[in-house]
Amino acid sequence: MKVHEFEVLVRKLELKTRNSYDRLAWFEYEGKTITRTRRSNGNKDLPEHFIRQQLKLNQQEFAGFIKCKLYLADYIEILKSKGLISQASQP
Amino acid sequence: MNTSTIEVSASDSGIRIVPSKRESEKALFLPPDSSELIFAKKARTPTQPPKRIKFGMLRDRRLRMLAAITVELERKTETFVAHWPEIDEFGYGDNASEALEDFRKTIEELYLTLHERRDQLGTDLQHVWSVLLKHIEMRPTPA
Repeated sequence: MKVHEFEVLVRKLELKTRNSYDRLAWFEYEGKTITRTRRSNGNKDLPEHFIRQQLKLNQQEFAGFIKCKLYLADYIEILKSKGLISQASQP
Repeated sequence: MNTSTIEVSASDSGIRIVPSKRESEKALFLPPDSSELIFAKKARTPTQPPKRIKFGMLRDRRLRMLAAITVELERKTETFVAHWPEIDEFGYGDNASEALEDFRKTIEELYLTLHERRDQLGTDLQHVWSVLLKHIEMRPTPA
């Protein structure tokens, strides 16, 4: 996974970010921090499998976001279906 | 069992042990309070990093380790990854030591970030936080 693909995810999922030692990114929903991920600053290839796990996505879903087939609303639905966001929550 | 021949000759001044050529190339030690010579085997340098290690090193002075973390090390194409499966956290680098150093910084950062937000965490991150609390704690600030 390339750095620019990580940045696509950050934009698509509207992740909040902070640059410190790493570039930290987390997904917030209704004031709660739901998922988090990170990448090191630099241009090394990123371990996609682990970033995917942190964002609670399977391979197909992950590819969907990178290829711009899935959007923020889809991510919220995915997290709801996995019980990470309450079903009653409104987007 | 590996046996070797040691030649022993008795003289007026005592017993002289003449080791075989092969034995004489080995390092011999006489442990304290023992009459038995032992051979020291040359340690073999491991050719591969271990697959799993106990990680217990933090450098951030605000934090203290309570229990070691079992970290899995694996190579992914050109990258080494140090992975903590229990909470899906990882560090990576060109080799095992770089990956572990990255892991250390990541864990410190994660602890401090979740500590800040501990009242606003979703269910998954609440689990991550509870696991972190079993391994790391904040040092008490001096009065």
